[in-house]
Amino acid sequence: MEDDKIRDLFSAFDPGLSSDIRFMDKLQRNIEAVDEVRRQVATNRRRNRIALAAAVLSGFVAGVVLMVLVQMFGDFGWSFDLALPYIGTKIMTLDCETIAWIVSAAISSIIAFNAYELTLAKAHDRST
Amino acid sequence: MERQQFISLVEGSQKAFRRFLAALCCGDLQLADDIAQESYLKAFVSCGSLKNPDRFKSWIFRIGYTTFIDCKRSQCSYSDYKAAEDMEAGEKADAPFEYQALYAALDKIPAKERTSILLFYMEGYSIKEIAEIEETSQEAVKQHLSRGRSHLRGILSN
Repeated sequence: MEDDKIRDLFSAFDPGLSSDIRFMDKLQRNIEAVDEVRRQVATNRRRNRIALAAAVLSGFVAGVVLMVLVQMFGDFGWSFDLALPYIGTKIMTLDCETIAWIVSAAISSIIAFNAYELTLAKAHDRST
Repeated sequence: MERQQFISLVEGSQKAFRRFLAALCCGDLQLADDIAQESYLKAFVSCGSLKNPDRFKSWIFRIGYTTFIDCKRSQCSYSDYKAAEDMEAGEKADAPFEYQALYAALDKIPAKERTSILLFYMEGYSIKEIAEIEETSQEAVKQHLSRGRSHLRGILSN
């Protein structure tokens, strides 16, 4: 079968497609849905960034304040040794200043985490 | 790319694209339209990567071809009973039956040869353009065309 015959075979091909208007309407609805998802993703990303900034800021401020307090009042002059039970080998010595630093770090982390959660919740409430 | 620009590019290409897919799917118009919808959505999601809008038509044909191949691999069934209910009866109802012999012949040809034949003879793409659409070499396209022609010749002459 020559090229021309095959070309003729397909040139008159009209498969009876469904209405163009219906096809385009359906496509436009799907595109609108994709756009809506994109908007939601962008909004969530923005909210997360704001919450993260709030967490970093509050964690930093809490850390600095606690650091100053530890420096001013952290040393009571006592300490204790951490040792393995039943064996009695000393692992390390903890003085009250070290414990104060550890407690400050934990408090700063908790404050930062709570600030993140609160900011996220508030941003979500504002949008709904 | 703006949404309105994308829609106008779709309007300019959808008829030829759906016609191509209808032949590629051997007359399964519902499947062809579903693949067309999915292809256009994929194109919309990644329309930022299309630098030259003049190449939109060949780009959408490439997306349509890969979507068709993925569909064949997963043996997907897009049966949409709601769409079947909504179909308007009597609208060119006899049209599909005119091409039953052609669809049966196309169905017997491997998908790659069928694609090359349709892109070359129906859409008038060059071998180089077909190679870009199918993401293969020009030599491979020439082979597909040659084999596809002999298959079609053999089937339709019987």
